[in-house]
Formats: sequence, C-alpha cells, structure tokens
Amino acid sequence: MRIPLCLSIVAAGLFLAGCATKTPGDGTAYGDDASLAGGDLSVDPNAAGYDPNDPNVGAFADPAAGTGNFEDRYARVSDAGLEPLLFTFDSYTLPPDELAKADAAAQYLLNNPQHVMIIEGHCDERGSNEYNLSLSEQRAGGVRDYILAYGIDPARLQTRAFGEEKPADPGHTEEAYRLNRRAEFVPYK
Amino acid sequence: MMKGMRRFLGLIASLAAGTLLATPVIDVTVEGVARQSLTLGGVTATGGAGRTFAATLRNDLARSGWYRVTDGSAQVRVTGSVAGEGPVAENLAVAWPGKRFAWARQAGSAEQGRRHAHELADAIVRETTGERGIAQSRFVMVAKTGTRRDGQAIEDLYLCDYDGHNLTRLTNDGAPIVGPRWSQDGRSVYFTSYRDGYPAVYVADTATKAVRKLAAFRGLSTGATPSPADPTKVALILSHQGNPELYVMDVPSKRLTRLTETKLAAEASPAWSPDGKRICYVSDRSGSPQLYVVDVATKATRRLTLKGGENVQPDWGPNGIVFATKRGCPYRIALIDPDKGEASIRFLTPVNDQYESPSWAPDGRHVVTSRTQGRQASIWVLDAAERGDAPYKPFSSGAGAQWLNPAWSK
Repeated sequence: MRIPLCLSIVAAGLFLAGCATKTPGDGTAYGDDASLAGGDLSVDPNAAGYDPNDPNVGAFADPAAGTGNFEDRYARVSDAGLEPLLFTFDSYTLPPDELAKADAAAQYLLNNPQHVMIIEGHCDERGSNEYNLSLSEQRAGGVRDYILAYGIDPARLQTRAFGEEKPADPGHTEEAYRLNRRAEFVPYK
Repeated sequence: MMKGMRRFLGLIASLAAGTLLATPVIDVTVEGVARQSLTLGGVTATGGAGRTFAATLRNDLARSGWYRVTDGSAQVRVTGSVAGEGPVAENLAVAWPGKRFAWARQAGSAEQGRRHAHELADAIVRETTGERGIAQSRFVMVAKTGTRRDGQAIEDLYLCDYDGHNLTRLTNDGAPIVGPRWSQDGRSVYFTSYRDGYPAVYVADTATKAVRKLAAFRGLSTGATPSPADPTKVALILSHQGNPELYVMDVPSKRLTRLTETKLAAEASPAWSPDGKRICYVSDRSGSPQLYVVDVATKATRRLTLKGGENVQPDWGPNGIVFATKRGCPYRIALIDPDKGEASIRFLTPVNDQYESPSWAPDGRHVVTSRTQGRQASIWVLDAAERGDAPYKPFSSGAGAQWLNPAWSK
C-alpha cells in the first residue's frame, strides 16, 4: 500500500511541475490551445529544437519522462457510479437531456478534489475505425470542456479516444449502437 | 506521379491500338483481349520444389493483371526447366518479340525458390511492360481474435506475402490496433496501438519485430504516415492542443507543423501524395466526414469530395486516391482524381458489397481491402483498371479472426 501512495505523490509533484510551464489561457473556448498546450509531462526540454514558447512543441515518446497519462500514475476508482453520457450518430454535440451526467461528473470532481478523471470517448461500430478514433476524441473533448466550465483545473482531466474498439454492448442492433456512442467518466486517485 | 500515369496509359495505348483517350487512368480500359498473351507451356517443372516454383510463377504472372496466361502460343514465352525436391535448379529463358533474357539460378530450398519465382515474375513484368511488379510485395493487417471481458478488442498485426504465404504475427499486443502503414522501404510499419492502455503511435521493424514508441502525446496520437518522398517527415493526428488536428513531424528535430485549425471538427487518416507535397485527409468540418487536400508547404486547403454521407480512409497512389465511401449503402471503394474532384469518381466495388480500408499496391493498379460478408471480414484484392480482374481473396483467411485495415507495402 505504501509504494503506490509514494508513487502517486511523486507523480502529483511531477504533474504540477509540468503544469508550471503552462501558458495562461482563458480556458473557455472549445479546444482553446493556450489553455491546453504545455501541460504534458513528456515534453522533452533537451530535445534539439525545443522552444518552450512554440505551441507546436509537444510531447514525444521518452521512456524516462513517461507519458503523463493518468493510467500510468494513479489507481482507477472502480465504484464511482457515474453514468455514461450518450451521443447521437456521427455527432459530438452534447445532447441537452444527457447533460445531467456531465454535471454529476463535475460534481464528483468538486467533491473529491484529490481525484483526477479520464473522459473516455466511444463510437458505435459503424464508420471507419480511424475516423471513429478522432470522432470519439472530439466527443470526449466536448465533455471535458463542459466540465471545465465548472472551474475544474484542466490538469485534472484527460481525454481518451477509444473509437469503436471497446463497445459497452457487443451487439449489432440500433439499441447496442445507442449505448456504445458514449463518453464514460473514469476517476483515478 | 505523371511519369507513372503516362507509363500506365502508354502500355494500354500500345495494346488497345489507338482506342486510348487522353485522360487519366480512371477512364482507361484494360480488356482481356488487349493484354499480352504469355505462355508457360515451355516450362518443365520436376520435383516438389520445382513444381512450387512453377506454380508460384504462374500465379504471380496471372495476378499481375498484365497478361493472358495460356499454355499455347503467345507473345511472351517462358521456356526451360525448374527441377528439385529441396534445392531448385532454375534454367529458364523469357522471350518476346525481338527480345529475350535468361534466368539461371540455384535456390537452396523450396522457400528460396518461391522467392526467386517472385523475383522472376517482377522481372518479366518490368521487362515486358515497364511496370513495377507486385510479386515481392507484402501485406500488413490487423487480426481481431476476440474481445476482453470489458469489451475491448483483442487485436494484433500480421504480415504475409501478397499471395498469402508466410503469414506471421508482427506484434504481441492483444489490444486495439488501428491504421498500420508501411515505410517506403518496406522495413518498418507505423501503427496506433492501445498496448499501454491508451492510443499511442509505434513503429515496428518488420525483420526483427522490435517495436518502439514514436509519439504519445496527451489525448489522441494516431494516424502516423511517413512521407513517401522523405522518411523523416511523418504525418500525425494529435489532440494535445485541444482536439484532433493534422500535423507533420520532422522526426530528427521532433518538431511539429500543424496543418489544420478546426476547433469544432475532427481530422483523421492522412495520406501523402506520391511526391510528398500534399496530404489528403478526412475532416468532419462540413458536418460529415469528407476528404480534403492540403498543400504541406503553403497549408492551402480544398475540399475534395462533395457527395455522400461519409468519405474516409484515403490512400494516394500514382493513379489517384482510393477511399471508402458511404452513399446510402455499405462502404464502397472508389477512385478519385485529386485534380478533378467529385466528377472523376469511379466505383471499384458494387453497390451492396461492403469493402473498407483500401491501400494501393506498388503497381498503382491493384488495391487491397477488407471485405465484410455476413459477420466475417477478410482480405480482398481489387483491380482498379477499368474492366480489370474481378476482386479476389488472396488467401483463405479463416474464421476465428476478423481481418481488418490491410496495408500494401510500397
């Protein structure tokens, strides 16, 4: 029990160090670049051509730096009881009657200030799987931005695109597709 | 690009004796009667390995699409002997009007003999047509073998020769894998895997099977496609600046150039032009996924497809862009001239069949796809030449796996 705890403290410290270089932004626009760039841990400042002021400098695979992804740093909270938010076909617009589920996820983060959250985006099996990857990322990003409007620290939210690779219902019916077009809220601590 | 297209046209012109229209390949006709006739009737094959050699050569020449293979008299004549039970003594000659070349080789094993047959087939195609052969090319594809209890797909990459031989497993991920693409030299495969639990871009060495992580940005990292003109430039789809956008990475300096800026839209599936100057990609900025073309140097962008609910999975070859399109039916494979746009579209598959994930062969004529019949997805090869060969299944991909996302080596 002690070892994971120590790791998570180190991880949190690293994460804050990573965020210290974050460019201030108003964080309100959808996909606002300035609010999101620069927060990643695996930016390699020793890489040739690294310019911390260049928004194009991103995170490259560096085994020593790690990815900064929550899966690598925190333990998954399995019983949070947050329901998936369902989307309509080929759309990343948040349906008004589904917003309560995003509100509940935001409330969870407000109630558990030490927790972080991955928002998983998913698609149904129709459509090319490459496009579905991007579509599911876009879905997760829309939900993220909705939750950020609660004043949640952007560093506590990550998106994860799953495309059509992890359906909630393995069936091939309209009902299965409806359940598979979703964003899932997965807290970590 | 133009050079390849002219060669393609030139050959058809010489065969079709003046029926050629001065238009791109999508209007070109390849008819059975116009092909060169080729005979293997003068080849004596003895021993198991000798017969394997002869059968491999025959299959390669038939699959090339450039010949009508017969055992009678023909324009192109292959004669001589291939003999051996293990080692193969190859003593052949290839003759066609006014020209000939000899093929004298010794193979140490039946498998080496098979590779020699592929080499000879490509040599015959090159010498008699001026075209690049496909007999030494390979496929990489995704095999979905099951699902985990939490619903996540269990997938790995497999390699095989273009005729289905030497099927071998490339990865040991057991996790979703998307979009394998070859490096131009055929030594590496770029792909997106969830092997670490999240989507990241990896490169596999096809000889050693060693895998290294290329990019794992926050959010989505996918779509890695090396430029055919410059292996240090890799197109990527990344979302670390907010939402999925198209980038080009200069690998040595690790610098990114962002080519799209669409906060309310998702980009996917980059495909380089053969000269490495433009990229075709998918964007849903219009409300549905459509094909766009961006000039890498100027970032000038235009929409390529105008009709259809979905136009996705482009691959750009010397004779145009192949892609999957959904126009009220299952996905069909279509071909579009990048300079002429929607009006030039020609469908390569029928209305009610489901084909996806097209990838050009190195000859710029054949296309490998994944075809779904019932609930079984298998690898199928198309001939993009008008009135070319019927689609065929290069190997009997059995049940027990779904065969997806094939890519043909360049």
